[in-house]
Amino acid sequence: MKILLIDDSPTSVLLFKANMPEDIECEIISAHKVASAVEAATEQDPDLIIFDYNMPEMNGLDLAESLLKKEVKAPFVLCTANVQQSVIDKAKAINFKSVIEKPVNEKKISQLFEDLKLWN
Amino acid sequence: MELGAQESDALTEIANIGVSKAATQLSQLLKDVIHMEVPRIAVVPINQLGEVLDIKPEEEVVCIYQDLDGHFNGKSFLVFHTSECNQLVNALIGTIDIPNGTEIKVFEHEAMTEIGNIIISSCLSVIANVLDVTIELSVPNYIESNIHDIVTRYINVKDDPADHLLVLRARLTAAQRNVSGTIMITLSGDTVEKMLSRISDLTRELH
Repeated sequence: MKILLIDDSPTSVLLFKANMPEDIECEIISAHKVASAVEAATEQDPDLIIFDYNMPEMNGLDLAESLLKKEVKAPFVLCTANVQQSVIDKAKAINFKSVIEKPVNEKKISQLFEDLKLWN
Repeated sequence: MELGAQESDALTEIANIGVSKAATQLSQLLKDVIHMEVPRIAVVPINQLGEVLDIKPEEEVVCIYQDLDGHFNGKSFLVFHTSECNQLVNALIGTIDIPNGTEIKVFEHEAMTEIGNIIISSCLSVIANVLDVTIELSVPNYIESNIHDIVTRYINVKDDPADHLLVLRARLTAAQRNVSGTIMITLSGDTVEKMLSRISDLTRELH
């Protein structure tokens, strides 16, 4: 499985990787800017795309909408500390599969992968 | 702007909910017990803001701040003593390999910014959810300076120094590491009125 993590913070990406459960085999690729995120999403065929919300160029939900227009088919997950109901409602409206609240930990990531089995 | 006892109590309770959430998230990040003081509320002129903080005006601090927009206007700050930042970053990323070629200082700044983003966003998100409003948060900004400079440059820029701000602040302390930070939210007068009105509406709905 290939996961694309889109987050402007390299620390956030490192924390996600560090909390990845050992029993889950996957390749994690990351993008910190909009251009590289679009390129990775459209050309590297990820199986799952995880978006940060609060990013300088464009928020994660707006970026997701632009990827949908480019017919990216991978399921979307939002990973953010900004869990305002308005943000979650908008994520659901554009068909995000799940929201993980930052900070991530092994338990939250394990749960995500359990849920992922149900989506497939 | 003057607050009565009931208004002050309502704002303290809202701040308490936000800061409690921030303490929970900080505890998860650092894997440590976080002691939280009861938030304090103060109405102060902008030009006297530095005086209400427990930090000496000339003391060097690291500050992560985010602008608030949407239903409420203001700023939110997370302030740490510069000397405590290394401990904080080590607690967060101590076991993680830093990628080759990354400057330690740059990485520390970035890690502090992410800590600030998580703490501020979680605090404001729970406040927005309780009040059923939307608060837009800017991307986090990292500053190293003294508190006097921060107040002067980042709060006075567009505002009249004689205007009053409501300041909600609380100190969070990591028990095992002796690291503590202050979370501070400054709100303009019209935002305070909106917030109190929202609290009043919700209280009526509950009864």
